[in-house]
Amino acid sequence: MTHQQLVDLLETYGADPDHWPRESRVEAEALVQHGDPAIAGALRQALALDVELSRYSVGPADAELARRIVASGPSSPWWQRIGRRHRLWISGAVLAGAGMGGVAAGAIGISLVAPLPGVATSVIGGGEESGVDTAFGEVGMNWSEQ
Amino acid sequence: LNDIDPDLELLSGVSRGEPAAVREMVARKLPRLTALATRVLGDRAEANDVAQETFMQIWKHAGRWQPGSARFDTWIHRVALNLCNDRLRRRRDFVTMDDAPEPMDPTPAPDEQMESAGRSERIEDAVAALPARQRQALVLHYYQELSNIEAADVMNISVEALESLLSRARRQLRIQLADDRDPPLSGKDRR
Repeated sequence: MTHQQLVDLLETYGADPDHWPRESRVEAEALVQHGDPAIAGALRQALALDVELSRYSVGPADAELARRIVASGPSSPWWQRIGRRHRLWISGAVLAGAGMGGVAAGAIGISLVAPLPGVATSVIGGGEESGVDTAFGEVGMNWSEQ
Repeated sequence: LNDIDPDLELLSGVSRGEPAAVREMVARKLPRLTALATRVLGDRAEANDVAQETFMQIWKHAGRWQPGSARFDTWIHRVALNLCNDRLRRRRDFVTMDDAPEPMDPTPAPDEQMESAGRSERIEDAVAALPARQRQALVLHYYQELSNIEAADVMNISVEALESLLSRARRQLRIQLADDRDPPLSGKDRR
């Protein structure tokens, strides 16, 4: 890099090496260290303009605008939203439901399997006439007559 | 450009409609977009509109974003700058020569000269007085801190063309700010 190229770089990109093209940075910084008066002058001039430019500040973004933009943003499908918001509630409900289902199934199963206490087997269609000996079938039924 | 795009993960969350990702995207990009549009347009209300319209495009394209071609941040700068250019064109269409405003006097009033607010206004006015393309190059590179390659990409020009715009912008600003310090009527020679 020549001195003139460095002066051009300073006039184009300013005095901050972070603003210089990456591929020129090392060479330019090394050249700046030489202390050439023309380069020092160009550096001072570029720095003075950078200082002026830095005075142009823009206030923070409007909070109400931010709120409106967030509200306009995409949202996930309803089942995912529900899942996120009520994950705990749903897992509790599922557990409770499963538990209640289990209890109900168990009760039905028992009601089918076990004879009701205090009820004669004849009342539920059992007994010697029908040949019901077990809960799983009329093992002793005689089908020959039907 | 070979670096990993720092916005990709966030963008992925936005595309899934995750509320936290949407909020983070707004927190991360709204100040940048507002600053860009404010300095390019010189009008905060219009800048807010541009920022909002840019986010509509972000929401629309988040799910279809293809990493690799350009950084997401560069892309939103291009979208916002295009929206700014639309508004600048509309201004030109509506403002005829008869009702065009007088060129802004860049010299601050005497009572403003010692105030830092006055200094801020002076540079604001000087940037606003630049030709649009020079102003855009300066804003993208200096204020938005895009690399020369990214800024040229956003403006759809070569790096050499960007450098020419930047160089002319800085020269013009130096002249204008020097004039502010040493008004021509004072009789002092310009540099």
